[in-house]
Amino acid sequence: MLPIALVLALAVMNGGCILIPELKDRVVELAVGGTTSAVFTVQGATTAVDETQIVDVGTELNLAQILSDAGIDVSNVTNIALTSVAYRIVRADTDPALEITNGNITVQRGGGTVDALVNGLTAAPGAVSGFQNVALDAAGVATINTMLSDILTALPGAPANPTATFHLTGTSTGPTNFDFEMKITISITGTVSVRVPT
Amino acid sequence: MNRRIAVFLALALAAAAAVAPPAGAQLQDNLGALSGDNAKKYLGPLPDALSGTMNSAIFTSGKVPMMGVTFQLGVKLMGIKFDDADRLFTPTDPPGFTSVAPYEQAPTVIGAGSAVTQNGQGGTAVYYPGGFDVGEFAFAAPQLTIGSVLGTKAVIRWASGNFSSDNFIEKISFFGIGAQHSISRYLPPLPIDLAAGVFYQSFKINENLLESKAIHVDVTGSKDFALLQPYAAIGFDSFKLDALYEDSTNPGNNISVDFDRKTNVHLTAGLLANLPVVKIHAEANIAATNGLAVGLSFGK
Repeated sequence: MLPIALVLALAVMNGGCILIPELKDRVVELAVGGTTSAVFTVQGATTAVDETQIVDVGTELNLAQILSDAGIDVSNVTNIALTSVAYRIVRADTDPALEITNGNITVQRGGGTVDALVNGLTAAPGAVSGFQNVALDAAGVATINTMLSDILTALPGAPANPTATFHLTGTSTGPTNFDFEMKITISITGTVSVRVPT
Repeated sequence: MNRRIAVFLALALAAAAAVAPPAGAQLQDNLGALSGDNAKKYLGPLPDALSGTMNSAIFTSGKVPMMGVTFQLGVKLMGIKFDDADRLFTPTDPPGFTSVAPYEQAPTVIGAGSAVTQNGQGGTAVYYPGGFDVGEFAFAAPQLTIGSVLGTKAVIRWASGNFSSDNFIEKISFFGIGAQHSISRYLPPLPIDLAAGVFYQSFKINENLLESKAIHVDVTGSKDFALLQPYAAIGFDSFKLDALYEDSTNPGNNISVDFDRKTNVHLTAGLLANLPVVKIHAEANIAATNGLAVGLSFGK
């Protein structure tokens, strides 16, 4: 039996007991995401696009629920930031050749300053589309990031000025009648304690 | 729908060794924040680890009697070490996000526990989750061997468990079935016993969160020296892993991750202590990931 015991001992011990994991405590930083969106019904008899949507970002994002679903306590949140803004046409215009050019979207938190969020937007609202990427302006991104941080700090309550006014402008090639959805995606990190066999 | 997640890497122990799943970790939530491409990279070290362990310690002898009642019931324990290169991956920008330099690498499921920030265009950012900071992976499996009919014996592995909804491992199911057939009987007398084996395994966690299927075929040769029986095998492994999880960024949408099928040669060298009632073996494996395995069985 001695050779067997030696072989088994060697197999078990070689490389640091890979066959007998030991449970150790670890702190793992999770990442979770969230989205909110606003739909602009763009309707006009002229070629000027000018629509406004007010979004209660705190309520729509529901950060408390996102964190709860992930098992992250709000006190353990380490980062929150805007990840992307995208748009899609959810109801097409009757004119399949309609185009929007020189589009801009601004963001205004409460009664604060109006900051550019999206510049130089072009869209083809003559057909329903999937989400399209846009180039973002740092001023508007900063406004949203500050708002997200304030929403997080105020949990479980609501922060001051939790609403944002998004203003879409641009030029169309004809009269308009379509629905334009803007989606905001955020990313959050937070720590949880886990027991890991290693 | 708070999916408190116990650690994925404990699942095999939970499956076979009746170790309760440790509470806490968050695999589903970590996956939920990742796009399909990045989830595939995050879980990247697992297919080789699972393949290297699940496909080991199945057949430990080339000696299969022609006829007679034989059975062995026991537990097999297989383990591997991860390479350091498996701890990081290069992320793909998620839809709508455009990264800017410096471009960061992110931890895989076995990597460091800290999340990584990737800065993007216009001051945006995306965060990639931390890993569970583990260096080894172990898989245990109960195994029943029954024989022999016409030089053939059957091998079965099976385990299942239901855990509270507050744990990651809400449910696991593991099943394997196969057979080993003597090929010595077809050959002129040889100094060793030879047998060919084939084995299929299915392993699921939480229905479809992770689902793996493995096929192992080999030819095992062994020789009796009193109570000791050294053995060696050359074989082939095929392994498939799929994942299905809810996109936390877009609740209600599921993301399916389809890993490429892994195939590899599997070489084994081991020693079996063939005692009257107790069978003990230890072996080394060169496979998808190199590892060690031991087993303890009772029977004849």
